[in-house]
Amino acid sequence: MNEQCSGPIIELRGVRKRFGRQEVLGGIDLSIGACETLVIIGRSGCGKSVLLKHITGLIRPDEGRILFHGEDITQFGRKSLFEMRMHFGMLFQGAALFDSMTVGENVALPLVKHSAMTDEEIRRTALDKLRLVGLPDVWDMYPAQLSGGMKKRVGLARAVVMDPQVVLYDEPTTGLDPIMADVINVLIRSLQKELDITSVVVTHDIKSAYKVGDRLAMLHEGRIIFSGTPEETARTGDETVRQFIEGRAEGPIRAV
Amino acid sequence: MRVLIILGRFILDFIEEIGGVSLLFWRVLQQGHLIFRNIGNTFVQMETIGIGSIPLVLVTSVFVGAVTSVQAAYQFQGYVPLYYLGAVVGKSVTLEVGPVLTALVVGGRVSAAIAAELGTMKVTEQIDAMEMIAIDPVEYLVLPRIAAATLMLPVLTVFADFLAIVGGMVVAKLAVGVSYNTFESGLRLLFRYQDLVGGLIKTFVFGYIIAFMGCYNGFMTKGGAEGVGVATMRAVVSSCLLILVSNYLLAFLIFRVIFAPN
Repeated sequence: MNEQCSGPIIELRGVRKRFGRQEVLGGIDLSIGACETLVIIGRSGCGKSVLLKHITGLIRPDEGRILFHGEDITQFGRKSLFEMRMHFGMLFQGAALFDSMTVGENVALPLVKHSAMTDEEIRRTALDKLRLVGLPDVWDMYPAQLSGGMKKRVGLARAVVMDPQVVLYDEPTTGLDPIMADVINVLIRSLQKELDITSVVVTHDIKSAYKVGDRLAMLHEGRIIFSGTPEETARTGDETVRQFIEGRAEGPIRAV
Repeated sequence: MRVLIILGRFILDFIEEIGGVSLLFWRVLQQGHLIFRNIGNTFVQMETIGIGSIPLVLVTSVFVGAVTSVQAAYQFQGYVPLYYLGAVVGKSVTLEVGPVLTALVVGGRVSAAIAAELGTMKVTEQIDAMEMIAIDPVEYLVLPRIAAATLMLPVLTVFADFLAIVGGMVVAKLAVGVSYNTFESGLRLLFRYQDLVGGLIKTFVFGYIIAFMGCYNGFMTKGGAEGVGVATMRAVVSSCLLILVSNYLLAFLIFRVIFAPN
């Protein structure tokens, strides 16, 4: 493990967020270590994606602090937020590729906007990332021509094209067949190993969580109720966590 | 009690709307100079908004000019010599009908298209993705559209004014029996360049309104396909209403203050 991989890179302290009357995050305390892959599990609609958007400053909390390398990003202006986001990559649930651009233009866009590279270097770097996700031949295609799994892989290539320190994944395997889901899991794992990046994965896919996570944290009713390694998670006596990972309708979590 | 709740909610929504519009307006103003970094994108929008609207403007203006000619001739009967037909068509087209009708038809087409495009981008998280790769959506999406619409609407209006007058002229000859020469002399008789300039000044504001309301409603889209539909409808309704209201205010400012009659 290299030196960059020590200590926390992102910390959330007492983060609260309400939408109207509904409290989505009710005081989140969470520390994410450099180079680790943290998987946040929880039911659909429990606020996992909202939590992820807080980490990137896309949503501001009502209360609490969010630290990136010790700096409170809730105090950042737009300029500082944009500078910070250069170190982040994000894979959105529906991939969020720009429809009006080709795959190549999508992946190259961050470099076109923010790097001093020549067109040739940009093309080479973007192609390298597409190769990394196993799609070297789709450069001139449009997102509408791709399958769900291909879109996610292109989204992943775009997320890592700037060699970010942190990559955030919002439901990376949702809506994919089991084989494609595993392809994405393997990719997340290999990117983490090859590029030494910190990953935060939000998912309700337990299989995927075990496969990619160094640590699992469970978000329930606006709070982190559990955090531990995959082994600790599998052995936990916490009934709420057990119900979720075993996928049971009966238990402390009300199904409807 | 129920009435109070509904009223309260309405007032809150209204204040929120004004706040949202003001905030975007301020950001556009603040970042206006960044348009030069997005010139390529602006040209693309100028083509979509401007050149793409030509067929619609063509049909609208020719028929509007034609109907103005017929209606004026009907009202002149027995009171005003038909020699003035060209003057009336020219005046009404350059002052009012050309700018406002062009703005309304282009507004319907363009603000709906912008709201639907940005609204779809919003609900499919493309706007968030743009923010995540540190590209400001206001700079990249809003500025080029506003610049393009603000610049292209006056051009389209000149085009519409010309076609409406030609339409009026042809109908005057064919249906009313006023020769081209007579129509043209009438047109020249009362023409003042202030009419044309005043009419065109208004269209810069109308162009801004059309793109701005399209972008604002697109950004405010919530939910899925239904949300995009609502945003599109709100964009068209709000831009048309604002065009009509601002038309009065601008007409007052231009023709009662700037070009005030002596």
